[in-house]
Amino acid sequence: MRFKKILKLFFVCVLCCHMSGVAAMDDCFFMEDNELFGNGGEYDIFNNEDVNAILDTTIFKVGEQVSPKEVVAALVEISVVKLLEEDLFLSTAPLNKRSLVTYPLFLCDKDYALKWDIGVNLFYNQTTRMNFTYDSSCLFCYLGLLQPNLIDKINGAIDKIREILGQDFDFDTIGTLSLFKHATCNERRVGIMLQGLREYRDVRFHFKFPFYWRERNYYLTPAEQEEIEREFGALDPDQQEEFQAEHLISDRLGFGDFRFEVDFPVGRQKKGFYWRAGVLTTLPINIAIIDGLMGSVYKKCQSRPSFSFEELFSLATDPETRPEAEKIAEDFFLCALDCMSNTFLDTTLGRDRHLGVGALFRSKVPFSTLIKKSWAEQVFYKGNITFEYLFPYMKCRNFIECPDIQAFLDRHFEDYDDEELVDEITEARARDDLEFLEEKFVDKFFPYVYMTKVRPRIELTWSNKLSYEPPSKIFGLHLGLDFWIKSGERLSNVSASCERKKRLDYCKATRGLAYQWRGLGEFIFRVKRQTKDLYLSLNIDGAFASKGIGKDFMVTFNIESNF
Amino acid sequence: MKKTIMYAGLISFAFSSATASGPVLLEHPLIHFVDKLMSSGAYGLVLQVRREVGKRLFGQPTKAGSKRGVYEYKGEKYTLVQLAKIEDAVEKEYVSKKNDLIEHKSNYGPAEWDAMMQELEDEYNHEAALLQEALKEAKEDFIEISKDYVEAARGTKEQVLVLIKESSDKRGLNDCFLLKWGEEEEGNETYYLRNDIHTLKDFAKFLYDLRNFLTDMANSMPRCKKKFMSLVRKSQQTV
Repeated sequence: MRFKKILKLFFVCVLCCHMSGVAAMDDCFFMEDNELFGNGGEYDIFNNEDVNAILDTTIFKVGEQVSPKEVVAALVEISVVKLLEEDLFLSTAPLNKRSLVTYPLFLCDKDYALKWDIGVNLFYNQTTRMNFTYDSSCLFCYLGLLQPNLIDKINGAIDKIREILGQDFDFDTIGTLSLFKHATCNERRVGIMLQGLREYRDVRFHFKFPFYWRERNYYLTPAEQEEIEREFGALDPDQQEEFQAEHLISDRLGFGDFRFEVDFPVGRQKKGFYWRAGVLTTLPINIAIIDGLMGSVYKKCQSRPSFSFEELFSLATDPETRPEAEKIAEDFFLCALDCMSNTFLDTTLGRDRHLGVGALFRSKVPFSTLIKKSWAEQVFYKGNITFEYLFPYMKCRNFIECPDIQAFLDRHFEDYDDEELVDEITEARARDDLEFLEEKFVDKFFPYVYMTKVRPRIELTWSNKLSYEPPSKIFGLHLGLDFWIKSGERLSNVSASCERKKRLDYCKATRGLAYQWRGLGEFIFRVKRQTKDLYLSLNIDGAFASKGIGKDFMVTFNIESNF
Repeated sequence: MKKTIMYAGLISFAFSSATASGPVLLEHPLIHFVDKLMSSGAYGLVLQVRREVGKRLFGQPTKAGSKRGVYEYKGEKYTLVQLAKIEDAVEKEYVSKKNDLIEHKSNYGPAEWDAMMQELEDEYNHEAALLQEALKEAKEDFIEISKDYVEAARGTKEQVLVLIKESSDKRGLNDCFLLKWGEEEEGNETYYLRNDIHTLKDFAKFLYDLRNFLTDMANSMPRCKKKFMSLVRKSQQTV
């Protein structure tokens, strides 16, 4: 028995020595192909004379055109296909805005003694956080980058890439995206509001016409900016400034819409009271004289960019053309950023081209009718209600398609991951699949732009002021509240093909309802002259409650001559 | 029970040693990804570099079926493996002669011994210089033939290193020149070759490891292999 065991042990040792002997540094250390693999068999690629003949006579190039099948297989491998099933845009509608001519600080509602009034308002208006949706002023509520489904799929793709590249590759999706989660847009409007009033036989004619500079930019707090710079590194100040001007800021200088109002007394007028009704129109003649003083103007991307994974992969695999691939990718994403900037930042100086027609109602009631005190005789309630219908207008609107998971399922992308099935995929099918993926990829970053009939419908304002302007004194005071509401839009006549129309998501393209409440105060100083009165007033107002539109504030300095 | 474990250990050692010399399949996800994306041209480049390295190591095949060396030494052509062996033999001969002289110093007069020692040194230095010349030629030649491949791998150094490590691990090479070459900063590879490899044996070992790595890489990409073979068939049909 012992002999048998020794024999077994000897046999195993001999086997080991034989097999490991090749690793020793002696004559048989360097082994040629025929010694290693023999001839034929699975590894015969190294002993194949035809292969060797080709290797000896051909100049191979790395940057050879990658085939559609290879590209789709690679996209499936790194889970990009799954990522493309998700939507990036939760909305594609432009942001709600309030026209300057509807602001309560521009109402000509002082107690004028004479028939003519001409005035100029120097104003500064700022919205620190514009609203992207009904409830939120965060950019990420517009872009679905923090949606759990999308995050899961980004993580899936990153895990796959991490697996491919090794453990050194580290990317915290939620952490990185969260750095931008409070990003928003700022708006500033600075300029003058020209206004005039003429009273002719109790009928008042009133106009307003702004000339101003409007600037919008993306905004992050200094602390958020610092954190992002810590994470990604900072550009040098010159580069940063240039990049901001080219992609993150938009501004225009020019005229806004022209508002014209006519009102007349209605009913029986008592002393100290008035009740007036009238009509108004807002002519959409806004025009920019200078574009891009500090930033840029972003055009609507009507011709969608093309994107070829095939070209990108082919260029990227060759070191000589890799910079070209990087440039293509960079240009594509900058173009996507500009397209987004067009939606958020680039807006006209008025209500686009919607003609407004409406009615107004004005009232003045002495406060003494409510409170029987001597001081109340000098205080008046002044109300101003406007109701305006905005006519439809054909304009460009962004749309995305409703998600269609079935289209992905029907294409059976899992076949590309299957060693046996992949051989059965024809070049024609691979090309079709690749074109589908390229189209979906472009869709993620570039909404479709179609001429669309937009019906903004109704805008309503209701200003309430308590006015203290005793004729015997040189100063006066207005305090009040203002309410503004705009109905949700309706879209129709989209200039897309019937097939496409069925797939478009109209809800996401439609601007919703918006309202805001503002508080205001006006301090008025009156200089009496023989033939005219001069009014100087410092006014301020600010929104304290709003939905669908940002909370802004405005400061104005008003000079009026009443003669 | 203990014996069973011992047998199992020995057998597994035997098989692990076997994989070190035979085909090794890389299993890192990166290789599967590259397999899907790599063009047949790039795959051809891998095979081409491998083949060229093979020619330097084992010789250029002739029409007669024999193999001819590439590098010149004393007016004749040698393969790198042959040169490494010559280098080894020269070194051994020098050491042996020197030891012999030292051992039998008493048999010679001081001047005669010094002269013989000097002659040995001169002879060895001359041989060494000739071999260094051949080494230099081989290095420059390798830099030239691998230029396109190294250029192609530029920017993907970390990923290639992952594969080199896997291949080296599976072949049981923990401290090879190939790993050190791979770990060099991008762009510094030629500097490393020129300055850190001093003997033909080390250089031949480096090339042999590289060739093994390229073999493993080529074997681990079945899709590329298939595509390349269809390219070969197509070109045969054209001919």
